[in-house]
Amino acid sequence: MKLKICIFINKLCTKILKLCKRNGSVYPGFIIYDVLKQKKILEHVKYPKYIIAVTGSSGKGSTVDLIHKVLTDNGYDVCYNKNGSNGVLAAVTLILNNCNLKGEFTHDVLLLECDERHLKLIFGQNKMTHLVITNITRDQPARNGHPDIVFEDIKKAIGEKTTLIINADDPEVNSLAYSHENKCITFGILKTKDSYSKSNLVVDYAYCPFCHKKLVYDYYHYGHLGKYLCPNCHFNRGNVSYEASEVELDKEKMKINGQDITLNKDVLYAAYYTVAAYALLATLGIEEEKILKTINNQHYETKRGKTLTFDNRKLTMLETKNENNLSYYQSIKYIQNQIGKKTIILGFDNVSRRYQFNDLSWLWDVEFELLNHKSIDKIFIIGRFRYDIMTRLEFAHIEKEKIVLIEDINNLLEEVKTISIGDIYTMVCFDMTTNILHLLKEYENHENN
Amino acid sequence: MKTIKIAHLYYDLMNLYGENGNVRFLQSRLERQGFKVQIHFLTIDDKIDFNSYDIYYIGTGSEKNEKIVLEDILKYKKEIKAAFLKNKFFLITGNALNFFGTKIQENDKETKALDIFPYISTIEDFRIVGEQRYLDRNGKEIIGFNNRNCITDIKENHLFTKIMGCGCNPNSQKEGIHEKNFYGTYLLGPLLVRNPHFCDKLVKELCRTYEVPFKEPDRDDVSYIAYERYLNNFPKKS
Repeated sequence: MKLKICIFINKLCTKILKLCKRNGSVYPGFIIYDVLKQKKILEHVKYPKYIIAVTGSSGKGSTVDLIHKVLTDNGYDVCYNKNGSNGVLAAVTLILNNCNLKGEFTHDVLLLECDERHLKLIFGQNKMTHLVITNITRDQPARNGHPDIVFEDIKKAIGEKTTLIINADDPEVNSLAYSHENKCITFGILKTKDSYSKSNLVVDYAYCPFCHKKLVYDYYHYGHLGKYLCPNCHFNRGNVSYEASEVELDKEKMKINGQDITLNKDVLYAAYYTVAAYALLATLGIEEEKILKTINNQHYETKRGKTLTFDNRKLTMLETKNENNLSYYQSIKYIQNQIGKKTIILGFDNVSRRYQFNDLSWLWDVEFELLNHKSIDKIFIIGRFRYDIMTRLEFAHIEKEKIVLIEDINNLLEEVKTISIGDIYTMVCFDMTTNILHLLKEYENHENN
Repeated sequence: MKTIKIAHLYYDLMNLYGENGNVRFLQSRLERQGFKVQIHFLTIDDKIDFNSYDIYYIGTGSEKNEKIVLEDILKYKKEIKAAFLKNKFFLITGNALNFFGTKIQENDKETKALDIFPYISTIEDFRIVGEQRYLDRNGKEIIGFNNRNCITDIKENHLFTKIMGCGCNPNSQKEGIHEKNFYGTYLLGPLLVRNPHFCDKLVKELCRTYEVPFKEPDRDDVSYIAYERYLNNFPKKS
């Protein structure tokens, strides 16, 4: 009865919000979970055969998008959080909206991108049939504290019956392969031409998760992801179930267990979300041919890397997460791998859209040194923290003449047009992406008039 | 010109929040004074010689890493005490501060620490997170961030006085410790970068120690502008 009432309230709230043209992805869940205090309501839902969650510090949204595409192409009726709202309130809203009044979930598959800290709130143990873990790295420290806290929270949500699909290149995540009692499938990427052998200064997990001796690496992909071995207890990547090899990002191709794969982006994280999705889909029993058909023949959208034109120049919007040095690293590597002269727009007004804190420590974990390259024509710094970013760039030894401080964001496009050359890359967080898109629209309107 | 040797200790375990910025900033400020600077990155299994360096730096780590480091650093208890008494410089940020008291208390368990100072650290089941504003002993404002699950009962020789945020513990108006050339605070991350005047104060002390005339910093320095901007634009109240 309780469930029936909650489903009814949830659906009614969603309908009202829709009529008011408001985003209703979280608020109905807030009414159920926080106002009515129904914290355990999801435990009463009659779930379908497959309950798949994808979590991790980065890459979960793109992984879910690809899994959804392949499952849908293969006739599954999949319900997933398309808009990326991935906390418990959004999960309550989505799940209850997709139940009938008997409390039965009305799709074949529930597929959720889940916030790492909220996973345990969304699923009680043994609810998830499959859990994909992409990686654990430092991210949003004001909320998460540090990666150990995040990982402990994820572990609390893993039940004995859950099949794990985990990234073997991440030693901390891969430690689960040694302790999980049910099926554990691993994925990873073999050495690429961008792999490196000397560790960066900032690594989240440099030590063995079991005996705490320093790990020895054959190579790193980025951060602490790579091929490692503990010289003391011999903990290592193990035999990886689904392994990407011959990765050629410039040609957007690689192989998984010998099968040719076409990537939809020339960045390493595309290789990661593709191999993660492939591993999950193959574990579900989808035939390899059918997986490949979607991956290789469809152009599927990704959230990052929207391409526009400004001043007859290509403008690529790389949404880059603040407080996540590896998100910046991947954007910087992407820019670095592009041909020709480049102009970069960098900066933010708020460190986070979740909280008011403005901790700037993470700026020193980002390898801005990689921007110290002759192909970079100008770097425009915008936002309230422009002087802090400029201090950091000075330490990255980027020539002063290349750095342009934008005091008034309304002058940004004119400045970019007048004093810079080459393709333009915005390496900014969500709030600034919206601002820049608004400026571009205004500029276009002005030009057309 | 004198070569200043900086030991960045446990750099791969105690480095959660951009802590590397401190040694890099310090290096640059010292080089402006004409010093040559060497930074040595040292960790578990390295032999750390507490006679060889002018400055020792330790940053913030996870609770797991804090325990691993504590076990290792206790090997050097006598040497660290001797280095402190010989006026070597120590800059300690975040939960590394816990190493230098008498003990660390967690629930009913007590772990011995280096016993350089007579304070006890307590591991709590909550975290203190947020922006902090303090005053240093010269009355200059210090900006920074806390993200910790520990408190201390430091009773004297504090480094800072609280304006906004949290002191050594939630009931304290004071924070950190400063004795001889030891500077310890729970503030984390690039403290020196965000507070260039505080860094320059340390550099001035080093200049005095090595009898090198101190050159005043350039006030157009972008790190000073960033500091001033923050003071003017961001929160002043708890």
